[in-house]
Amino acid sequence: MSMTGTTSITRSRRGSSDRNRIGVNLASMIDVVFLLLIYFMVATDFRRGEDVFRMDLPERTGGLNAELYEESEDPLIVLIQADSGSATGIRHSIEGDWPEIDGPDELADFLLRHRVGGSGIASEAYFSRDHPIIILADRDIPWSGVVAAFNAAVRSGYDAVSLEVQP
Amino acid sequence: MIDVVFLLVVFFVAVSQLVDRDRIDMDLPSPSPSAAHHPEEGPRTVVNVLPGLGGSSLGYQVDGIVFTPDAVGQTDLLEHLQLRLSTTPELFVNIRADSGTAWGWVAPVLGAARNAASMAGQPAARVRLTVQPGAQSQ
Repeated sequence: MSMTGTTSITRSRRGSSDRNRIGVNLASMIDVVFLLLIYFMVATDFRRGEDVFRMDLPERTGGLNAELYEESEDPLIVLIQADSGSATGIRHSIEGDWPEIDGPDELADFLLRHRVGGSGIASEAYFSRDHPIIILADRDIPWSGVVAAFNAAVRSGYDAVSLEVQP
Repeated sequence: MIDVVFLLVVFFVAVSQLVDRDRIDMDLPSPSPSAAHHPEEGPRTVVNVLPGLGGSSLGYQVDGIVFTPDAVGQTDLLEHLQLRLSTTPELFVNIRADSGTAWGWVAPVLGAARNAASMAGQPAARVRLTVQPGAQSQ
């Protein structure tokens, strides 16, 4: 009898305590947080890092309208022109008395062959690593074609490569 | 578990903001074998040449500002780059352009970077051409 009485009092007190406790229902918040997590996981685009070519553009001495290149050495000028007869639509050549070049890979071979310490014979190594190379492209040449020529020159070990627009 | 989930949410929010800010979706050139390298650390600004139809450009986007690809826009771009270079002399100017965009639309950005550096009293503009990572050359 006494046991039953104690139990009922305890239950009564606990029941009263449960009724008075103020709490936040977390279930809906957890649902929202999970939805947010799923949204950001799906929406986030993890792209691969991008690579770069470094190209320092020196100041023009004598103001903005001065001649662009005033190097002590004559630069080697690589011409990139539109050519409807070519499969790629682009024709590469080198200004001066040089043989025709067919594509960026052949340009890289040519430049490497004629670089001091390059792959060619010593008597034909005319250009040092810092010999200025100007890539002079037509305005209509796609950017990928210009970058391919730039890449060929850098790949051949040249440091002073720059880009210009064919006037 | 709720703590971990909250941390994940914060992580994805932060990453999505970082990734999308400067990298406009475009088809960058991917020369192969590539002599390009990973960019060195340092302050940078990214000039996106926004691709248009038929190899044209819709403008140049820098720091969230879009400059028109005409003479006025190019002058504004020059002034913006000059301002950035005068406050941050060691700034790299990263140029991003679509593979199919004609060179004639990209060249003014190089000119603006060069002239901005000159007007900011620097000996050279620190320009970087951005490409897709490809097979590295030996």
